[in-house]
Amino acid sequence: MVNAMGRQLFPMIEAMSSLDFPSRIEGDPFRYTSRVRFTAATMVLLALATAMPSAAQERDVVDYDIEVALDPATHELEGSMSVRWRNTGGAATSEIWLHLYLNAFAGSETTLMRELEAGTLRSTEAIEREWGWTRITALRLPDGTDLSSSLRFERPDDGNEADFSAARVELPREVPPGESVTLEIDFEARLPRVVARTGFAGDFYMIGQWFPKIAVFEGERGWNCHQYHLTSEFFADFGSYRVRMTIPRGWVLGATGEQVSRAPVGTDDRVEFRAVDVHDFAWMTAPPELMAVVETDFEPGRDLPPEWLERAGARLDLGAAELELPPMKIRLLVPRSQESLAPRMLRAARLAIAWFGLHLGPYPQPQLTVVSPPPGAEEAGGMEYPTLITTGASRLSAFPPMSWSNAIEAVTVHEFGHQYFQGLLASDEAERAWLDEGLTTWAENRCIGDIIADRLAPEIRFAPTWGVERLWLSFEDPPVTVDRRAWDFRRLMDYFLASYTKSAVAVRTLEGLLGEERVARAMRAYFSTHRYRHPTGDDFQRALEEATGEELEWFFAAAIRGDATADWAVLAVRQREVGSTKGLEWRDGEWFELDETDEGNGETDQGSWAVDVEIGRLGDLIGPVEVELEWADGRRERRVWDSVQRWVRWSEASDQRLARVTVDPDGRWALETRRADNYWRDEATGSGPLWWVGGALRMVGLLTVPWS
Amino acid sequence: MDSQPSPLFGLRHLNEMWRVVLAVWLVTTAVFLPARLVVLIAAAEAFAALPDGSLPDGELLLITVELVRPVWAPLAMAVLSGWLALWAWTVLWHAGVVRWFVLSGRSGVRLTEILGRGLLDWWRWARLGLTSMGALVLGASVLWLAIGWADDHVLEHVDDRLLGGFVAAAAALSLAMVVLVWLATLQGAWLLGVGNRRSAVLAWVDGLWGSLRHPVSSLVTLALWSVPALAATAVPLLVGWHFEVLRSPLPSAVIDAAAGLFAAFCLVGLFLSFAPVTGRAAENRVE
Repeated sequence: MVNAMGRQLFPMIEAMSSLDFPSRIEGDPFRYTSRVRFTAATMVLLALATAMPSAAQERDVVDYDIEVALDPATHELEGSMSVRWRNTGGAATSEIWLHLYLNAFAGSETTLMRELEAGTLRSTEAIEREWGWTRITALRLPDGTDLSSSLRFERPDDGNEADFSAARVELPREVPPGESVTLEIDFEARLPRVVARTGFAGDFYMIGQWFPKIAVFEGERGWNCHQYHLTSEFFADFGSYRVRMTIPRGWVLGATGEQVSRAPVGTDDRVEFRAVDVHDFAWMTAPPELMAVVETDFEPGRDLPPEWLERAGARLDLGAAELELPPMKIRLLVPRSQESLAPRMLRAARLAIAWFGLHLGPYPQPQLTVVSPPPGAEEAGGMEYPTLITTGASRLSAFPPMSWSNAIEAVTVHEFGHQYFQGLLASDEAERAWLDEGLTTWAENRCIGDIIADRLAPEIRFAPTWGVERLWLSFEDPPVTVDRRAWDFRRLMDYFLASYTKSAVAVRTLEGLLGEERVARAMRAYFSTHRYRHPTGDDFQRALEEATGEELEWFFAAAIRGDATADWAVLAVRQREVGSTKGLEWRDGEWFELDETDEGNGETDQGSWAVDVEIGRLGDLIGPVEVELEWADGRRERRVWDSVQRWVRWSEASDQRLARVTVDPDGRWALETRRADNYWRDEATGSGPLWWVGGALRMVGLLTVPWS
Repeated sequence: MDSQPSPLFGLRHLNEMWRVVLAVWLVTTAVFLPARLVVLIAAAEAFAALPDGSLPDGELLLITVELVRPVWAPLAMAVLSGWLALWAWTVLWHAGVVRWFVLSGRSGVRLTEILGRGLLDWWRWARLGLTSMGALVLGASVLWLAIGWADDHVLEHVDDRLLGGFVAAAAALSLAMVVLVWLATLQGAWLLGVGNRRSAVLAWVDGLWGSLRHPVSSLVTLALWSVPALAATAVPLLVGWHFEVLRSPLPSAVIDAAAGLFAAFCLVGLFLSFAPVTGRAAENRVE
């Protein structure tokens, strides 16, 4: 039986069968051999396809059953878990690697804390009073075999002996491909004061990366298990979770998945959540005096803007039936002090669900949980976990001028976007952060752009999107490579520029070059083909190429895997009136004196112009770029230059002077951030924006007067 | 004895101060010329080549930053030195005008006399300016520390409508503080010239007290002169925003000059309007 991957390979096999094989030559002794070879190749491909895990298999790699209790007095967790892991890596293994990520908060010399000290992203001051850690207290197989003694800490990324965030356990026997093993683990943990996504602030607990989590086995490549880094986020296999959490009586709780039950146990409450097709489990809890819960829903008939349905249909060439979205539940956990912002947060969540559902496909989970951390717990904000996102807002966001910004919408849309690129595609965020952060940033800007264009959030008066992304990108120095491991950048800023900004702007550039509709369709195809499959950069490139029919290796090699910069310029424009030529002319074997009335030369008509335009490529990215020439009579023409050479000269004869030259007049190359030299104008007719500068300076000057 | 500010007094005496108005206008324009020159050299050619119509998303911001970034250090220096020069100049003519009003028994204003007197007493009036800046820093610190404390201890539990009121009150208080410091500085500058007093701090405090004693006349005087001055400063920007043709060099230069002259007229008028707070300015002068 051929699985889903086999079905994907059929087009390739069909393509091979249509090749003109030599076996068609009559009497060719190799004809049968060739057919046998073809058949063998087909069989190998089919066998490979069969051996490769299907999407359904990849969604069922791990099965966690966890019991955990929180003690708010000590900020400690005590838990026990049973996890079944199935080997889908295509090779046998006799070990299992685990993430013990809370140990990243254990001391000043862990890899995370060293990176925190080196960077300026987050403050370490808070955590230095409240360190966090985790400890496996028992590790055994279901038959009672004790594995504790075989547990070893590993430091695959930097060899830092003070880091205990990754570990390996030796199994007594190999786990062949397709087989499973179950581990029973008891663990303890103390949560840090909230910093870098997880921890507590007062009575608010954001609990992420809290249990021993199995890493990803990649067959011959071995285990993919990185230490906890400041910049990189997470990577794990899909599976199911059944988690029972014991918390103080009456406290609110939000978590990955859906609540199954809640029952009193002694003086506490025991809350059970279940989640399927997810690769992580996070939860938050707090007293009801601090956090309110808003239970609501996304109802497409009410919440789907009709103009979006129409626009998405046109972009994707799909009918309304194919764009149908299911209803789903939304739980918002919001600080009581920010309750007035709840309607805006919920509207942003509903718009995000609508936009991503229309453009990438319906969100398959039945519930989304949105957590807005309270004041003092801002470090827990702006983070994504499967079916649970943390956002963040200032209470002052309810009042002008703070309310005029799109901060609430941007963070909500961005984190919900991760539900697709991180939650459902689940690319490796450690090794290829750009596939999550970059594509999410691209989608966020597109979604926010549509919200603004359709005035669906009328409070917003200031919403920087692509202009600000490009401005940030203009600060890359030296140029950054997008496709790098997240912790492997020279500066923290380079990580952000590469993983968020440059990759998003690269996709924006592809929209400019290929057309927004084609990229929108390619994105939808990428998502539907690769969800639950941990796609790589090559998968993304192939999906775009297949959907658009364009070969894009030149672009990905330069802009994603390389650090080539896009930069073109108008180098020079020279115009000469041909009728003003003076001197001698060779005619009929004789030299003749030219004068203004000489009509013997057909090229000397007054009003004829010889024009040279020189366009140059100043960057090292080679690609097609449009150039617009505008003549004095208003006539415009556009040309495409492949920019393979460093420069090109176009010599024209015209009855008009050239009035204007613009390289990339539509701004298709969003990656190009040095744009001042893209414009040339025959006559400077205005002072342009300079008058702004003068006016602004005078207003600044007036500020001096009251203090004199 | 009239000890309240009077806009009419300022207006009546503006005609004899026309040289000071011209000087204020010229100096105010001149001090920022270096900054404008830096921007002009860096960006004029590229800006002039831009099309008149719309540009791709974010293009103007991108190009502006691209052009200004290489010259940010000289530009920052030019702006800062412009600020400093403008402050020093304003201290100079304030001191000169006060000394001339209070001490001179002659009619007819000579600019050189005002500047000479201003130079002699510059440091005293500079101390007054520094006092006003210190008062603003102190007031702002107290205000924002209070807001921060309230944010941490009170706001978390208050109703949102109360929070809105608090935000509005904080904004109003900030504005009131700026206005009060400005009024105290204007009154203090005149009181510093009375009786050859030495303490700029005491003069400033007296100015503050005087402003509080006559809030209506002080505020009305300030508003009548400063609002038109601020508006005049914004006019070239607003006009250019709405009428693209007026951004070209000649029209924008004319509008700039007219607006600048009017702003200088208002600023001198504003300062003169506070002369009556001395209670002696008008009496001592020979009309």
